[in-house]
Amino acid sequence: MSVLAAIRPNEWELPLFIHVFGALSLIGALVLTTAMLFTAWRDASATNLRLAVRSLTLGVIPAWVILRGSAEWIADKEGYVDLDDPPDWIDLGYMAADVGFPLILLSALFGWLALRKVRADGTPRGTVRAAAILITILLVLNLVALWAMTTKPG
Amino acid sequence: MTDTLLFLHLLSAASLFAALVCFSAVALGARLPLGVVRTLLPFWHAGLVGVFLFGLALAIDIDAYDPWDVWVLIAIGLWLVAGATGEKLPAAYKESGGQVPVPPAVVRTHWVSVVVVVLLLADMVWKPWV
Repeated sequence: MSVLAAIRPNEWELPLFIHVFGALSLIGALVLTTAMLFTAWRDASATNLRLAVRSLTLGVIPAWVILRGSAEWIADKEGYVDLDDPPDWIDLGYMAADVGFPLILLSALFGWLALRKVRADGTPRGTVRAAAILITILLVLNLVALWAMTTKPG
Repeated sequence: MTDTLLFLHLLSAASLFAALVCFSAVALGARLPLGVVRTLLPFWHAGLVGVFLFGLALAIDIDAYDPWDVWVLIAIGLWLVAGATGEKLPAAYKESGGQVPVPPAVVRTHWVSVVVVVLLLADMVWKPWV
């Protein structure tokens, strides 16, 4: 793979740069959101929960859009879009991204519901836990995708 | 071996980005709990050490590259600047006891570290003068 990277055509470099930037930003935003959600879970603070929801909507969602859009662009450039039987690592990457978006939306919904609950009676209950668990699953999925993209199994 | 090194190199970069996103939130005025910033600071350190060591190992491992290639030397220069600038914001935030806004000079230094890390990524992809 790395030998291929050394000889890849110049026109692949911009989409690759944007894709890697999107992936690293997504993981970064997911780590911050996870940390804030677990903090809010522990202390039931509306401030921490609001920061978690902001990190999710202003960090995770834009990073996911950049990652997914550039994935399509680079897959098209490299000729992986039209393959009947794409390599496993491509499938894994698409799965992580495509399963990821509903998880992000669900987490945002749970986070927002928890925020409303905290503001109303000071107890976030199960919704903040659900958001924290979903975002942790998404973080793990993205780390697996990072492994698949770099080691290219199959 | 090369693929494992590449994974560890990118995992270190992800660790660097995780810390950078957290510090950027503080730079933008978010009052993050001190515990979160303290937790993310080792991510910055581990990321810096990891990208350097695994990056150097990759440059040695791959026949097409050498550690003295211009793009590797540029990366080492950018890495040194990132190391010198990246820790100022969490240090100032911890010192102030988690007060925002952080002094403007510290915020400017933080954005320098963000630009440098993005340039580092661009250098890795475009590999000038290869």
